[in-house]
Amino acid sequence: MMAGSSPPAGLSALVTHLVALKPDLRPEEIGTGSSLTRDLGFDSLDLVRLAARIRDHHPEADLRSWLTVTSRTEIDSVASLAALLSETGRTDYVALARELAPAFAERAARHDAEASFPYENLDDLVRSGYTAMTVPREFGGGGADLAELCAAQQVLAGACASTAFSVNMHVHGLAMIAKLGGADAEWVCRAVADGAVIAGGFSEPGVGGNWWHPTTSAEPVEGGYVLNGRKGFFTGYPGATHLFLSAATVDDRGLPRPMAFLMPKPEKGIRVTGEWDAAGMRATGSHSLAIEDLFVEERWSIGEPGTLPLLFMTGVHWAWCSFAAVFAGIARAALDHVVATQRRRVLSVIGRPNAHLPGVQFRVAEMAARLAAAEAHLAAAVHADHDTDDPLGHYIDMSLMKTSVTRLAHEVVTLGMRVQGGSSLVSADPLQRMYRDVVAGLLVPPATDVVLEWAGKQALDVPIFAEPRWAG
Amino acid sequence: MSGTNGMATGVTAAGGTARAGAEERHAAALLALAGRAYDLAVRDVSADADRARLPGSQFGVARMRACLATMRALLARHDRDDHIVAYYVAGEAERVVSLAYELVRDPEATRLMGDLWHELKAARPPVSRDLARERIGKTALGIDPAATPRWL
Repeated sequence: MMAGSSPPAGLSALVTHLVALKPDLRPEEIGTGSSLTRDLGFDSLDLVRLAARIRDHHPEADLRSWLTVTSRTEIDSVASLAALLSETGRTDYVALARELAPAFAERAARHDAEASFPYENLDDLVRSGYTAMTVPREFGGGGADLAELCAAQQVLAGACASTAFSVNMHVHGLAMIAKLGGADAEWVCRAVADGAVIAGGFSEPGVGGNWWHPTTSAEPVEGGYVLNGRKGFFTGYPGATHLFLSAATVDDRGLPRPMAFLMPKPEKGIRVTGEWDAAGMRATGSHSLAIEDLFVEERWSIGEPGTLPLLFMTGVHWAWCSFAAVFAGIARAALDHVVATQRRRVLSVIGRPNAHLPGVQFRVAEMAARLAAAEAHLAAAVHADHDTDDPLGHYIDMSLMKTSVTRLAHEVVTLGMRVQGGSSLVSADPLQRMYRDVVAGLLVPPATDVVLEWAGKQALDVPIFAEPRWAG
Repeated sequence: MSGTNGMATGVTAAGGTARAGAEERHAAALLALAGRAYDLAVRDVSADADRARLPGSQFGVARMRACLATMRALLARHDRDDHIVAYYVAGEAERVVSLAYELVRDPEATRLMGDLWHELKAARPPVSRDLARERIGKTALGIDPAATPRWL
């Protein structure tokens, strides 16, 4: 970026658009003074696609006047187009995440130590409009796409992974519901634009990553359903105003029909059986819950009974890409922290910063290479074609990406611990928190073993849902 | 005193682009070898319905798929001025071929896999792995990779 002047407010959004259209561009290569045609290689077809994308995302932007000025002056700088986007009044969520991050980073150690829920961070996210990021613009939200969501979440995760992961359940879940359209989508989108916060509960004890087989029962009664069951890892529960959860009815043949419900947080029928007290992601409030004779009105069901797996598979890119973004964000922050420390720390026996030691350089190289690979895989998934007629194949591709990205992120932070040495274990060093937080990436859905089973079966042309599952 | 000596590390402005192109081609060639190993393993396992239904075979194939997808993504989206793509792909290609080697049973497939392994190890990178690691690390740490002396 150009030194000596502050970047226009629309720059982050523009960079997201440019990278979406030309995936080989790296954000850090895009300077405010760069010419779209001369420096970034945009040809006329690229410019048409860029204009279409800007019209979609920033309908108020006066592209015509920008094009007129550009053709007259032959100045097609990134800065001029970013300034145009700034004038549209649309929130730049990546810039907003950068603005919020320092305060979140400052509070992160305390919330981690106390395993307390970061209510003040959530308040900031609601007040600033961050939680309305994925609400479509027609319902008063920001209309952020997947690329912007993931970029913003990476920034937040680098500051406070627990906050990012908590709000991730809200922003990606909302995006999936919004894509459904209709009345189900409209009421919740309007509620979120007014400040509602959603926590999601699809994990259950004994289900083991097979989320499409909820054991929570939904018994049809007059006017709705009565739910009974248990939920685990209900991330963000303490701060939620609304709950999004799964349960299953039984059809005429006695087979389970998985359903989703989104309802205002009830005053009775849900009991916290275990407050979240874990080694990592300690400030996420991922409580264990008992659902006991919870009456849910019919109007709070989302989609048709039995269609939950299909709905989830077609919208899974919102879930797995945003999950991966959180853990890639932790890894990026870990690398930045390690680099800053090794450049600053001087060993008396060498009289120079540790950064000059070959072992430090080699391990930092391994970190940088793995992080680049993780970010590339995430970016490829974010910009993949998500309008698919093969929901299962789409689900598997996205799941493999999440598995790879979180594995690499974990390796990056583990290498960072070895670079930093013993001091990285000290509670004052944020790296030890990142180390505990990034492990969660290996453990959150989709369950790695199920991903490997499905991806392997698909490649080997073995029916994925056949019983018995394996030979022998 | 540290100085800048491009000759010592092979870094020259004019040579930068040519080197980047060579590294990309090297990475693409290794990715192609890894892809062939994957195809060979999938064909070999698929030919035996019982083996294809074993979790070990399925997990091995899936791990290869994941590695290949990451490598392809990096090759499509990488900084042409750094050494990361060739460095990363070389390591992961070995991992894929090694996983594939464990899965094949057919003697002819095993022989072909041996050839692929040999080709992989015989492919000399434009920049040695040691030097690539040094340059990637120094760049990330904000140290001029061309400065001399290279080490303390």
